[in-house]
Amino acid sequence: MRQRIFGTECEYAPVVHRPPECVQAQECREDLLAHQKNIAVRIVAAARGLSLAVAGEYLGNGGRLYVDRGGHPEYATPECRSVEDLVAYELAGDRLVQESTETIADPQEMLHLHVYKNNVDCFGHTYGGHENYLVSSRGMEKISRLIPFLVTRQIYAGAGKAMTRDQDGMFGFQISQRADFFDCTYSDRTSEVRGIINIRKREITRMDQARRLHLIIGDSNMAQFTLGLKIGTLVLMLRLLEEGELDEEFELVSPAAALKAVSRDLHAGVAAQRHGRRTVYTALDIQTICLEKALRFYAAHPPGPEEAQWLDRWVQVLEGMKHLKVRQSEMVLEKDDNDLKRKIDWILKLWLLDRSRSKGADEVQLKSLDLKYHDLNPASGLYERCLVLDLVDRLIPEKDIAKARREPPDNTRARLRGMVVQQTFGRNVAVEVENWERIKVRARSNDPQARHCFNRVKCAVNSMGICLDDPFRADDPQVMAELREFIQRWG
Amino acid sequence: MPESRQIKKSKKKNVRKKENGQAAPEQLSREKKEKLEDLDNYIEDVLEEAGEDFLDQFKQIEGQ
Repeated sequence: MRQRIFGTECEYAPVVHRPPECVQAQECREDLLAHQKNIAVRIVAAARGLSLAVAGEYLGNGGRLYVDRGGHPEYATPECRSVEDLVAYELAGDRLVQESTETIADPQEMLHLHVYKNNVDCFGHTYGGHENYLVSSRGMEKISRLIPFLVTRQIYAGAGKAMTRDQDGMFGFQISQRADFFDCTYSDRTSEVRGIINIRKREITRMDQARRLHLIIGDSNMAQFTLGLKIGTLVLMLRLLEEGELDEEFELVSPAAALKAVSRDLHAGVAAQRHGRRTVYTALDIQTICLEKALRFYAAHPPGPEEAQWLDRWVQVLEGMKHLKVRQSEMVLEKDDNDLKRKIDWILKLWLLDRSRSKGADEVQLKSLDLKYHDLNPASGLYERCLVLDLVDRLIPEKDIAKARREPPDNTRARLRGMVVQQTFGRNVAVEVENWERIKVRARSNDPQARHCFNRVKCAVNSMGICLDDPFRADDPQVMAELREFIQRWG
Repeated sequence: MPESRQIKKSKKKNVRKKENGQAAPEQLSREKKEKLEDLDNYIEDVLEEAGEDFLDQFKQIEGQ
């Protein structure tokens, strides 16, 4: 499958920071949930006031903004076909959520409302950054072949976290925010029992029997390059998987344990079964094996421009990793000759924490700093500050992010969805985007003539359905002409 | 975090460019030093407000 669609979902953490004397502790889970939901609902509602076209939870850029489990505002990107597009659309979601938050900042109550893009609080609660990829049925049958790659990609895709001190008094740094929350290889659940491969039945599309690969294992990324590399390398690996290039025996002995071990120690040994032999590898070894397979494959099958670009970036980052020296248990970044902190979230965060620790910051301060890294507010977020100071690489120009906030991608069905949302917005028709595949447009029921499904005066039905079964179909002139006619008649 | 804090614009000096458009190494290092100073001041502000209260206020409900 040379062409595929993919997208991400981000659950954000809204937090009201008040002076200590004004803090009202939510005593029980129900109180906290009600408080969080109230804020999330207001953030989502505020997005509608930002001069953007919306229809229910769906946006004029083809994406979706809604309140998810646990009272987290969640943004799902529209379906994209290029990695750069996806990065731009995810960043557009971050901007949208931040701007909505600023809109509801009430001087009396919400002045200190901040939204964070991370995956964990200090009380052991997690919330996700999910990925979705369209994968051929052949690829899905062999999806287990991806596990060694998925477990070890955290070495460049992790967002990093200052650990909470454990029972042994251990305090240090983990590469991944999400690693500790996975206990098995497969699970159909997205909470409580999470699996490296999420196998829930609901699928976004069945086009040519292709399937939705839903991954909940990744960290939410702040760094543009990290986000791009996380998606770009997986897109490369999916092609290898579908082309039968990952068929050799290569299995981790205990994937969930390996996920946690690598997160705590970049150089941890991971037991694997390969070619009938049990061997111990580091995460970097496993990533290098994956990269070598990709290089061999693309030497024989010339890559497209974007594939070549991410292949090259993958090579550069793994090369840089070979010269990287860290002491995670002491929160020290000893050596980063290739300046990977400009590109990779966890390395940048470790550098920032190390810098602060060496100047005397204590454990609580370091954990606070860790959280501030993910604050989306450009006036107070630590990553945002690094971006302003040009201490990190930019992948996407601001104008492209601004465009992604307004307009859908032009090469997937998200364009059709976005155009329907835009053209019907503010007109006297009701739009129900039922799911990622179905849209229903109805005449508004406050028009007496619109109440019956067939209007005899206008000789017309009062609703129309739009089907987005084909994920690659970005335009449908006939449907758009029918929609214009419908709006003219009823709107 | 004080809301009144505005983004301190990094002071842009008139960096003299070499003929090939590259800044001289000493100017680059001065620029980098200024950025790091700016970052450290910024971190200092964050650390001043860091504490158990800050972490407590961050409490979330489990998501997916």
